[in-house]
Amino acid sequence: MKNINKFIGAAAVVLMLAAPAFAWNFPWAQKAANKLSTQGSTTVLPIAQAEAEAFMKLNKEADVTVSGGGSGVGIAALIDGSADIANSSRPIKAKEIVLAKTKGVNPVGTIIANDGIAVIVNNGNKVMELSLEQLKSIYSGEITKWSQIGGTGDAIVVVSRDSASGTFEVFNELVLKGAKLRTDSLMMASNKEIAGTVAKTPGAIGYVGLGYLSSDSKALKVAGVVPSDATVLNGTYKLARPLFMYTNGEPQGLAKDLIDFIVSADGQKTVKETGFVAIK
Amino acid sequence: MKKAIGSGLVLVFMFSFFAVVFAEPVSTFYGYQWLRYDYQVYGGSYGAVPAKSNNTFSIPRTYLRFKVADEAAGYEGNLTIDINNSNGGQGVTTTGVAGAIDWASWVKNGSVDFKKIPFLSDIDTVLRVGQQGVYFGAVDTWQYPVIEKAMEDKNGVVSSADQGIALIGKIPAGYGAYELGVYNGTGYKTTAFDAAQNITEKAYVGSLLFTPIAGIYVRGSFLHKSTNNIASSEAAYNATAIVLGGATGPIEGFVEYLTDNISKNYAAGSRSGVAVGVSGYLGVKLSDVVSVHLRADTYNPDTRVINDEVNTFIAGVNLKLTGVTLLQINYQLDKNVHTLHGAADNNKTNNNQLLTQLVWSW
Repeated sequence: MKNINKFIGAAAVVLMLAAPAFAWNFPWAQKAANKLSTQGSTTVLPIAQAEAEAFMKLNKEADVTVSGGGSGVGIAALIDGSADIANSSRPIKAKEIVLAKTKGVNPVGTIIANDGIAVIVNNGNKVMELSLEQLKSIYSGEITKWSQIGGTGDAIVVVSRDSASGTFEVFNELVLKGAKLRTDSLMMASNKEIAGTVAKTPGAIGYVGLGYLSSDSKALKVAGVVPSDATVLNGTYKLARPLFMYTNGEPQGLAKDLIDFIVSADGQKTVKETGFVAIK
Repeated sequence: MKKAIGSGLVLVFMFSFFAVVFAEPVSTFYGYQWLRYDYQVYGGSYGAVPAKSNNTFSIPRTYLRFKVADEAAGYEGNLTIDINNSNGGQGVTTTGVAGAIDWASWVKNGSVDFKKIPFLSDIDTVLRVGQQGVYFGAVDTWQYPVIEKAMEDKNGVVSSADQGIALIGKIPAGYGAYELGVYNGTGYKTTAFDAAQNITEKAYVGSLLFTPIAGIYVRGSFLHKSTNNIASSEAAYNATAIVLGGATGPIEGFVEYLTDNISKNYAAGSRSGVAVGVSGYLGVKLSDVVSVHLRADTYNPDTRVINDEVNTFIAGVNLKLTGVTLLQINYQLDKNVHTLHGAADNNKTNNNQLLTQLVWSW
């Protein structure tokens, strides 16, 4: 009995120490209708942040929190109930659907934007078009001179986004397909830096989001297709992918309001301003 | 000798760690640890003075996990090293505690998934080779919402891991999943059945999970293994489990029914060789921090033997202190009927346990 008392005493101390961490938000109590949490893809993050800010300006009572962590983290958060919306730069995987269903969650995805990547070279470069295989060879270091693919003899200067970026993730998935990036590639922290470097460097090649194209550099056709919003939307441009927001069931309440706002004309304007391609 | 092996494992572990960290594919080092306080009273028969009690700290599980994945190349390797310590394992007393373990280390899981095998990848199926979970009943899906193991693991129906080859696939449109495995059959640790047998034949496991609608699932599993111990009459061991589960909002739970059967010609009327178990679990998330959990099992090791059931009742509270720390407080009552226990365990009809466990992960 004495030992039981000790245990109860110890448990009480532990509970008291843990007390500050408690947040008695009972799930079945009506959740504050003005609160919404979104989590997931770092690629979608700038869109989600910009859209949340714009949405909260229009809806003064709304309190939308946005965090990253990656698509898998966001979907896991939706499944365990810690997020209302999962932001994802890829379709949900079959194993995630199965896990979600066993937890009583029915993930429904809404395409909120498209991610298109344009390949750019210096304006002085004569090359107008590359195939996906040529791009892969350039970025993996198998092709090192423009003369090997119809250009002048300049050495190719490969410019890439850093490996932590979502844009690199897309490029890696759609172009490199398992090949290793050239070790002497210039790694840039932003689309803007890539565009600036390519504009100043005669033999450079880089890739940027479609929203970052300008007359300072030249966008190449990829696999015979000009990169544009239209070719991304009609599916002919290969360096593109849809971006999703997943909810538990069809969007409802504040989640529906936010997603409806994102896919509206005003929301899609914000999508374009953040360097992505609108869905319509 | 044990410490030398342990030191060697640590060196191998560190070498592997740095090797994978600096390798080209994406590598991840993660894991978790259980820090446990256990106050246990072995109940005497109907009010007798307890024969023994435990009042101990232990670290029963330290998982060091590595994952090396190259999505483009289509493989993912996983390695889990378990460092185990149990009640009384520290060797403070000369008598110690039977079965206690003092910082033993072993590989719990070590396997590689091949994700881009022609045809298999087309049907969303992965080939997993190596030491891995045994896909049976609730043993491989049990996430320890309470501190006790899953019923089939607790009662030695199947091992929680074994060496083998498995196909792990999904039913299209998210309607479920399946696993088909061939294992050594001995498990990474020996079950009660294996201890009495000469297992060299392979074990075969098949599981099918069906999720017709969000919130409801059913999983059926079958395991078959045999012995080449021709001299004995034991020919085969078959186990079947059905799990019916559900979840809605903050509530989730399941009911599991399992039966296993050792085919053997026992002395007339002595034993049936058939075991039956039922387990029920219910968890309710009260808030983002607090959840409560209830579990009840009854496992009858032999349907012909009277009073050999093992009944377990667990009530627990989990406190998610931070994103990486979970405090579990459990009361567990094991109503073990002593017939099948050794002389040392006679009269230990009720085991009362108060367990507090801090799980931290990285």
